[in-house]
Amino acid sequence: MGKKANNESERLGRILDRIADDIATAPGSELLDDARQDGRDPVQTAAKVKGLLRRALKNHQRGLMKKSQEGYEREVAAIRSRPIELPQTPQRRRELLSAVFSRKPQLQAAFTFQNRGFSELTDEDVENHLRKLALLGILDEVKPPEENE
Amino acid sequence: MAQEKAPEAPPARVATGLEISQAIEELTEEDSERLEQTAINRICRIGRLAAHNRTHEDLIQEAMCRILDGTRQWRPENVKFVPFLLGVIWSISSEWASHHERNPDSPEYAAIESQITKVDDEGNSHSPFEAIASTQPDVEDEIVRAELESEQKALLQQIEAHFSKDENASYVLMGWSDGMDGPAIRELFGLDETAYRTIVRRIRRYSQKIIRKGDGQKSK
Repeated sequence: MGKKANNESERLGRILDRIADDIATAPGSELLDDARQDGRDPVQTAAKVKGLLRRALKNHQRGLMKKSQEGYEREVAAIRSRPIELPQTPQRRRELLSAVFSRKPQLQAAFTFQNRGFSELTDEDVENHLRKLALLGILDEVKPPEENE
Repeated sequence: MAQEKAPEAPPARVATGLEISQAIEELTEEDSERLEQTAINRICRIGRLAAHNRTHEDLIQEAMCRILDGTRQWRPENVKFVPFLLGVIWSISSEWASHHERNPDSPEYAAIESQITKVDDEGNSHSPFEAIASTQPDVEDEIVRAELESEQKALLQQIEAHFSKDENASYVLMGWSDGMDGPAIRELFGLDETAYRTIVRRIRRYSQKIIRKGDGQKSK
């Protein structure tokens, strides 16, 4: 035999604990029958509970997206703030990136382009990639096409 | 001869967001009923003061948030989603209750005070709440506490009164109050498994019904 409860609150607590144990292990069909007999609709309960869980999931995903977006923006801002000299025109910058990949084809797999081909890169992508390559010191080894001539 | 140690099994992996999302979509009506009833039961168990007026719905959402942010890690190879979520609901409600026991007169911010207290150059701790007046129990808290005790007493009396003419159910309630488990109660009072299960079902159904009713009345 266990220890006697000290007061009514403790007695109620023990009873509620045993009831909770039963809720956790009772056959599901029994819980549903009881709910229906008490005038509750299990379909509505399911919609409500799933709604709560989905809302928590959505809020969490939103938080992750915001964090990732902020990280991306920080990275872009850092890249843009470095004094890096790139060719003036988008066409020249694209040629430079192409020259880098010709010289170092192994980089193409790393930089391009998770599901995209080189030609699909936007001018902004090209510029960002060149800045990253500059930060890595790779552009020092590759001259822009006109300077090679 | 020294025995070779068996290679340790790699720890089970933590569920991905996709797996958690799938588990939510796969919840059955039975699962939802079980989750909701458990959360209602736990909020009643810890009382309104410890719950800080958070509802059973808040409890379910808090449990989900902790699984998603990795505070509680669900490992699908070890345990199914619903039993895991039920366990998290239990443990959060216990955590709320024990925080309240340790800080009976402090509002919720006491829980995070230790996390935001700063230490100055001389090693002295400074809480951002120092400037706030002392946390003596206020009259309102005392009134709520008294109300809560009276509600709990009334709930207990209502359950016991409902089953007062049902001898076996009274035995079960008495056994639970005395901290006995099912097998001990069955043995002491000579109840077979089926009879015990039937009584427990009746007690559970009635108690949960009046707890729900009480919650509904309070929120009106």
